[in-house]
Amino acid sequence: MSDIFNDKIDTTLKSIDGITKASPKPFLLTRVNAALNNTATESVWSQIAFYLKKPLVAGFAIFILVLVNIIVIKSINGDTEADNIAKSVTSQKYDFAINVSVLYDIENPEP
Amino acid sequence: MNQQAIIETKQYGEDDFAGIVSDRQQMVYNTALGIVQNEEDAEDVTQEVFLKVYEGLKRFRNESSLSTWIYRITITTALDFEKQKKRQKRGGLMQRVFGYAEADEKPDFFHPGVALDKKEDASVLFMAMKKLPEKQRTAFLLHKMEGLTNNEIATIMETTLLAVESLQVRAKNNLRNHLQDYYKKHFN
Repeated sequence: MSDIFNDKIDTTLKSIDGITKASPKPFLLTRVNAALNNTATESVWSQIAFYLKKPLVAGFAIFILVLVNIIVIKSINGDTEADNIAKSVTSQKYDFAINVSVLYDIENPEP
Repeated sequence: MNQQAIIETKQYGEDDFAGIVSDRQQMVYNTALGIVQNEEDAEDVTQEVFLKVYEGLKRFRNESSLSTWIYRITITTALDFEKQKKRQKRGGLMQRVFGYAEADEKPDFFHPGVALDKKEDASVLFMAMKKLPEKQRTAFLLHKMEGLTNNEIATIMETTLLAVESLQVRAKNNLRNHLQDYYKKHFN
């Protein structure tokens, strides 16, 4: 039985001896040139989209976005009481509506 | 210096591209077909290889011959293509998590260059070749399908002659083992 196996294995191993080389379908150059033209005409946006589609790049972009959001939120919440008072004083001082109404009152006293 | 050597040592530019495609298309396609074992896939790989050749032609410095360089691109591209296809085929989170063994493959590739009476056996051999480690498979394929000498294979694979000889021996032994397993299961 093992002889039969060995013979079969030997025959199989020799089956590609003297194999003829295979050739691609005709007009390969035309297809390659068409592919080259397609690559050349790809817009900048499609190239950007191609890179963004990569999981690593997409993940990094999302991470940056989240990081920026955290920084902005922290900077807003991080304002001290003194900053708020200063802001309120400044806004009152230069508030156009308040100043206008005051001027109006002075120039047009009530009868 | 013979004609081949003149061709191999000249500087290449974009104008030479058509000639390179015409001269090397069979070499690229045949090598790719041996690795991916599917005619349509081999066409895709061939096209991709020539796109890479076009891109790299200006940077090609004649450190190796043009054929050697194109062989390297072909082997890398075809192996990458095969890996990508295997990943897509396997698919499914569950299969990835539990690492199911690949289903027992059937010999389904018939190389167009094999004689009709040997097609069945060759098909089994190609199936067994898929199970070889990459380096053993590359050395075996380049020798059997492209008819390259061990010296030429060593240059392409950037290794020593001794290493290629060792790869060939191990490839044959592994193929013998795979074929033995296959025939034990399927031989009537």
